[in-house]
Amino acid sequence: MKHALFLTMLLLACADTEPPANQVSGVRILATSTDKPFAKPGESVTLNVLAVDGRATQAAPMRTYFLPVPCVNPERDEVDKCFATLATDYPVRTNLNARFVEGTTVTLALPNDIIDTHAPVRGGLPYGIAYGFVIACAGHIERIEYRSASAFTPPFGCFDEQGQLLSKDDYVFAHARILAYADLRNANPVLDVVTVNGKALDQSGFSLSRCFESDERNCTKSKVDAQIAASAQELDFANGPAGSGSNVRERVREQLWVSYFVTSGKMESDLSVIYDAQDGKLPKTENGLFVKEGAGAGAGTLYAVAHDNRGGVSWRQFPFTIQ
Amino acid sequence: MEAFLNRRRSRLRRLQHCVPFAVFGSAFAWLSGAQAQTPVQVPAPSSAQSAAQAHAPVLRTDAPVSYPPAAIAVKHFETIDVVLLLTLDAQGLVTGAVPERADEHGFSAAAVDAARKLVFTPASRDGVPIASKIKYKYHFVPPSPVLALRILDRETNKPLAAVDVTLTGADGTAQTIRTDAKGSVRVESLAPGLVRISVAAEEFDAIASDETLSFAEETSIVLRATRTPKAVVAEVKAGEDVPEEVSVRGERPPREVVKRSLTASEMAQIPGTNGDALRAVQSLPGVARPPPFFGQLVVRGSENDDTVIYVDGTPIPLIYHFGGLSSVIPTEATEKLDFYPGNFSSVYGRGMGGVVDVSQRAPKQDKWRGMLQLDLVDARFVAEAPLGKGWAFRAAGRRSWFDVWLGPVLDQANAGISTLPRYYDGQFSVQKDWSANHSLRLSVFGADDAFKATASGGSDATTSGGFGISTKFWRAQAVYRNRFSEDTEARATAAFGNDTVSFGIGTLSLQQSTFPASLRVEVTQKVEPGIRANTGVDLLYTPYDLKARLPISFGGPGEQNVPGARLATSEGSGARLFAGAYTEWELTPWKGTRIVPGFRADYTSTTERTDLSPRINVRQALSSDPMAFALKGALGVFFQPPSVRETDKVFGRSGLRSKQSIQADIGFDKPFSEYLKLSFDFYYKTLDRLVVNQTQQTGQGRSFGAETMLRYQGSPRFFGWLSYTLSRSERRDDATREWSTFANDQTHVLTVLGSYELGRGWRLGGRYRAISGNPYTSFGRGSYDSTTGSYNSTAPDTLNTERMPLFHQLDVRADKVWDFGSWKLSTYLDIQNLYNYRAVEAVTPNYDYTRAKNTRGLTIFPSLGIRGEL
Repeated sequence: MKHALFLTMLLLACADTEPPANQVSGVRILATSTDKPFAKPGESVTLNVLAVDGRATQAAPMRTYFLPVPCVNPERDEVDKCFATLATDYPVRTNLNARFVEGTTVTLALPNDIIDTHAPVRGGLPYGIAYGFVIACAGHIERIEYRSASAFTPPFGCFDEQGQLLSKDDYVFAHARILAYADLRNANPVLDVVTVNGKALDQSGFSLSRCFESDERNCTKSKVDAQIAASAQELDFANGPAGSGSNVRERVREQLWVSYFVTSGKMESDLSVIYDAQDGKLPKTENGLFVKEGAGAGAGTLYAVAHDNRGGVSWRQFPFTIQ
Repeated sequence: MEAFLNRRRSRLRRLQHCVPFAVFGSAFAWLSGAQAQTPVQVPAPSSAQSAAQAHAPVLRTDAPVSYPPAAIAVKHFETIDVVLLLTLDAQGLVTGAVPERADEHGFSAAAVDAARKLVFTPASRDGVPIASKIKYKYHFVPPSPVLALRILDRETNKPLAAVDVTLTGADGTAQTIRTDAKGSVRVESLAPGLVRISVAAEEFDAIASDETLSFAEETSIVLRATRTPKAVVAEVKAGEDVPEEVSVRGERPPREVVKRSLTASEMAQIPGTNGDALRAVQSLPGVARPPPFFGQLVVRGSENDDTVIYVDGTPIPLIYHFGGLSSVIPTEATEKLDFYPGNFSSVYGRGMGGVVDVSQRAPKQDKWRGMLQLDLVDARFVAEAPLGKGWAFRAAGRRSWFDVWLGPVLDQANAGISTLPRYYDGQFSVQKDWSANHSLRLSVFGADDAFKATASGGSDATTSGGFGISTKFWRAQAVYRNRFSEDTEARATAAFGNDTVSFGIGTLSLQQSTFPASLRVEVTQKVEPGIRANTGVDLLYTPYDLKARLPISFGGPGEQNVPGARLATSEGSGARLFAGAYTEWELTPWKGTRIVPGFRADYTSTTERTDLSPRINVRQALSSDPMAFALKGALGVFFQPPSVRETDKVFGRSGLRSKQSIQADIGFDKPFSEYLKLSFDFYYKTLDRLVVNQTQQTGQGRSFGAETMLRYQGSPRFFGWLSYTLSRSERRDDATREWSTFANDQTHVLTVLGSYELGRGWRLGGRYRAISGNPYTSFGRGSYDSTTGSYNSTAPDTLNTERMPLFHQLDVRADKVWDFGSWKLSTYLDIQNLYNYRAVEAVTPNYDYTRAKNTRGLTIFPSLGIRGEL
């Protein structure tokens, strides 16, 4: 029984004091979508980034930059294997802003041989993978010295005008995946409706009441939910249709989930799974939103980002006011 | 050599041993109207004024009385007086008997019945017999217990005559009695309560046994003595060393240099384990402490899967129910447990860690027995009985029930758990004993665990959504054992069963089912004095079905999330054959020396190779004194075949070879008394061909350390030990990399435990542990995966460079047994973490790896259990 009690303790301890991922209080990249989550070799793919500046005070504005070329088929598909190559392409102690593509979108071209140059695939269809890189920075970008002690460290940093490396709240280095198949496509999941307390949201937003409870577990939460059409849960052919070289006879569907972010207040959970890969539509998909006394400004934004587990992404955002 | 105790106990109610203490000397004459209690006063019903010639009645014929059966039936035992008013006629006969006060248990009725048979010399006045009335008191004393002992030679079943048996009562008084020609002793004057029976017979191991005696019961016990090993001087030629042979009656000495055995009573009473059989292993040296919820056996720095678990020689897939809640074989079904942390015998193979061999208890042959137990974790029962003609059976079962009371708590916490962890297990055995050396046991045993929840993986969608796990296994087993003669013994174990594991979380799933059939046959033959050969085969055939949807490579640093492109699915069936044969020779070439060379060959169908494992164990006593210092050492090669998943064509690869380990051990044993022994071992082992990134077999490991254990074992009143392990375990992906600390490496493991029987059914124990915290890696923030919505981490090239704080904990346990003769009631209180130290069990990074928090472990936790036994 002690273990069960420990489980209970752990579960109850989920309401920890660490700021969760859904609280946006600095420079953040929340998502990157592509117009073709599954592209074909040689196609051009447009990336669109959702970046948010949640800083209370902004010494310098946040800007977003894309690296102009993708990293194709790194060893074992691991993104950090791209870093050493990226590091050699750019000089150190140099403002690199002009070398990158500023903005929230970029179009990247995939090589024609992206599938052919990928290592043999076990248990699925042949594919190729490319990584696009995007940086949100409230300063300027420089390449940082490659540190052998941490080969997984991104090779770029964000610096202020005095050349000081800015903190994590002023800078994010992110990557986005682009998968290439010979014939397969994948659609981005679409958020049909987002509701708060059962009411469908539109761009006019909604309002919240502050919670004055000392223990946030006692706060009344606004119930946030999202609806995605069942047809959006596609069959996951990519991971092993019959006759594809894998030994699979059974197909499964995608997993679809929604990640939530708020610039004021806090969500109960960082994400809600809407469709489980094995159980299908889950009966309980609600999330909770509340704003504690003194937390945040008088207004905020709720971001709902829908994902599928094959690289599909879309999002919607809604303003709210705090009473 | 372990003394073997086999007892047959029967308790017979004794109805006739009551002491009819008719206290005539204190009988009171009663004169009408008089209140004085003067003995033998002449009664004078109407005029008793002239007393000069008066004489009181005098008892002529006594009529003893028995302690009332009604009082015995309800176990009402006390010394009690019943005073009767007797009316005597002029002939001295009793014409009336009236108790002074009524009672509930038949004392007055018994006294009245007896009193009517009394005959007195009548009272007289002036020489003339007259009628009279007197007070007459009966004094009831509860019948004493009777102890009937019989001492037999365990080997021949012949009685041991003229053997001294010492009986020591709870107050320390002792008496020594010698057995008669039938090996029997009968004592009728013992006080009720605990009595220690000590038997000292020349050429036999001493026996000590504690029994609780009760009023009005006869306790019959048969003790079987094991002949003490002795040196046999063989015919030798001049110049040769005198060979020494260990007389093999009962268990032979272990073939291994390190064998740690736990008896069922020890396992049941180790504090902090809830009396669980296999969790007790975690208190032994060489075993790392698993964190709560991880039912692991990390032995001498090996992975959990490297340790092989056997039940009477048949491998089973699990040792614990979910999360180490309890072991799959309950203590009640266990006779003993042997644990080999390394350098185990050639009998065992296909493992690089340790070996745990659980021996199921034989069904009892004497009478119907039963047990019911309830604690906060589970409810269990055991029933066993003789079936006649040497057959007996035992059935046992267990079902956890904390899901019943924990469910509402978790519902309130909105934990999203739809099926709380629950488990069943059951064991059924029938055994035929042709003799003490010849038996057949047929068993079926298994376990079934399930847990289902809707899990939130934080910002990690891969581990969010539906979560469920189910594990089941069962075995049908036959164990045949026959000691044909003093020189030849055979043992065969055959089993068939099914193992099923089903796991799903988020986008991942795994279903694996295997149908293992195993056969193990071993023949032991004395070749000549000082040489004994053990030869056997060890076969395992496992058809399997596997269906998995998993990441093609589990995430290391930099791949915390697994998008669809890296998932793969595999479905298939196959069969694996493991064919092993071994031979092991026990050599005692000269006095005090024991050399056990062994050789094992294992063919594995998936590797299409035969692995050859030479092993040797050596022990040298420095004198023939049983308390002599003994040096020991061992060296051997061990192999472990790749798992089903490692050889799967999607998630692994073909062409893998068995993982290999070379293990060395050197140390000493030093007994200080019959009960107290010190052992020390230094070990070093290498691990090679470890599978890295699912496909490469370049991984390496090494583990080394020292284990010491001062153990007090064998005494009926106390057991305990002090153990300390100093160790280091490391891994690396290939020979070019730096060594990293193994994730479960624990530098210092100190355990002190003891359990003492206080008498009157009380036992008190405690366990203190101080153990190094587990290592962990301090990650940094890496690139944000904006497709899946979570951060990758950075990590240094060398993992596990940080270490959690020291773990320390005190557990205490108190047991109380009430013996009601025909049944026993017992209860225990097991308090874990008495001083409520919240140890750090995990260091968990936040969502972007910029901060980390400590997850702390168990608070103080009392557990209460109650048990009834027939």
